[in-house]
Amino acid sequence: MAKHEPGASVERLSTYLWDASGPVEPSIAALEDALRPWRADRRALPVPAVTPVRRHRSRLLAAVALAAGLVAAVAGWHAYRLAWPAARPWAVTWLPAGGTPAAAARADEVWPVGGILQTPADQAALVRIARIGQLRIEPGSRVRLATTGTGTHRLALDHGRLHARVWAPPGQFGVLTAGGVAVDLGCEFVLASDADGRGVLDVRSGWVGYQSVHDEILVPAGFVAELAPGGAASSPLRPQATAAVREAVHAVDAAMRGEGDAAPAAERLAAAAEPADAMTLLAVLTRYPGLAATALYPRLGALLGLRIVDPAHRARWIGGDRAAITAWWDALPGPRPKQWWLSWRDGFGPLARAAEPAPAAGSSP
Amino acid sequence: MHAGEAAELVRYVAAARAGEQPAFAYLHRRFLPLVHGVMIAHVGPAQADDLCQECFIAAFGALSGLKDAAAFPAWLYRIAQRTATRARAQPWVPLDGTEPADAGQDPQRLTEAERVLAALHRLPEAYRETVALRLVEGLTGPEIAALCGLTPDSVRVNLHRGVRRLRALLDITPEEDRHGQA
Repeated sequence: MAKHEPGASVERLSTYLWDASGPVEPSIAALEDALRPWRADRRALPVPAVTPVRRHRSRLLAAVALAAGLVAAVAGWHAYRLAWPAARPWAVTWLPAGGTPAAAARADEVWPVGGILQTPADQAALVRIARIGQLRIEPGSRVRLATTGTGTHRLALDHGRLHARVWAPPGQFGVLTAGGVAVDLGCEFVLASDADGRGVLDVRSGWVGYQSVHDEILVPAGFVAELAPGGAASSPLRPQATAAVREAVHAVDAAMRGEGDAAPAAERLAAAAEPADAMTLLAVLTRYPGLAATALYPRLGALLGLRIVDPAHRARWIGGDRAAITAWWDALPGPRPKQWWLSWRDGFGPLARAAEPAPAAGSSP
Repeated sequence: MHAGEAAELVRYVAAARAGEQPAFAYLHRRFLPLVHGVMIAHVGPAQADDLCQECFIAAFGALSGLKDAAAFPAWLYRIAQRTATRARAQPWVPLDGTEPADAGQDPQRLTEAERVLAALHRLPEAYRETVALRLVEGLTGPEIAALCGLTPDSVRVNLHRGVRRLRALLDITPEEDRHGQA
């Protein structure tokens, strides 16, 4: 149908032809009459049976099917990631010291179970931890692959330093040292240890559990645990913690191992603690509940912004009541140790360049 | 279209989107002359009937893609034009396999109807739909403009030139019929 621009000449036509008003124009009426048999209202056309809702429904079903397919694909991929045939060797790529995978000296070497990987002074090794993560073994290290298989992967760090990044449910990856075992809880960490077990555990994301003959501690991201010969681990410390806090934590830990009086050290720690040290205090009080009788308890409550109105809570804490302790853990911001999936970034991308462990007093692996 | 009619149309389009059959019936009844007028301007009566159904099926099925319910008439008009254009490019086989007879029609009158329709089909395409909507479907110029999304001046020109040509094709002398001018 032709369209005419505004301003074009508008031709004259009868009012009857225009809007069927005015006097009937016989020739127009005759044309109308002649064409009347073809009018729509004479054709008895039924309403077509169409239900657009079905289209919506089919789209919804398609969307649901797509979502289900994606979930199944992700679940399948995740199951594949976690699966690993028992004793299948790991892939190793050698790197120049401080180098990246792109600068690999040689690649595709395998590391069998029981095999010892010893890095020279000028080379590091990049290792795939089955399908769940990556490991960088720094120069001058000696590591043995103890066991590998779906759900359990263990290394033994005889001496040296390694940097691991794992995205998997808690407990699947662990590293034994002379003093204990560091167990991944969905995380990235650097572990250094000498042949006696002296070293440092530096957690970069998630949580790491450290078990020794003495006890078990949890170290969150942004904290380090200093490892002493024989397996004793310090309570978690910020790398930036003041010397006073560091000294007081070591004194508390030593006292609780029977090397002195813990109460004065706890008072010093309470006095020196800054807001960012709340996790350290919480870890100390969790490790040694009896110290809730000291100034550490009200100091931690203040750092967490909690009003201490229930003396019974303190008494329960002193008695080692897990529920009382957990209540204050829940007041701390950040992911919990079991929320490993929140560290999903650890499952992707290359491992960063070799990172030195955070400076910590007393660590010289 | 008055504001009340526009609001009513929006309600019916929304109801049709929700799958309410009465709404489909309303839209079909109200806009069948528009769609049929487009079809009859281009093809024979039986094929026009089939194409009307095809056009409404396509439009109702695509209702969820219509963003502005008030624009339904012009949107439907474009679908009708596309349906007619596509149909003309293909050999036609009626849906029921036969050209339906207009039972009860006076044969002489039917012959005249076919003669006038054949003349309408010989009009330039630019005028054909407007003339069909006015003379076959009985829509007024303002209604054609509103439904098709055209300016009244465009419709006025198409009507004037199209009817003048149609008269010429049918050897009708208009001067003695003219009683008023718009």
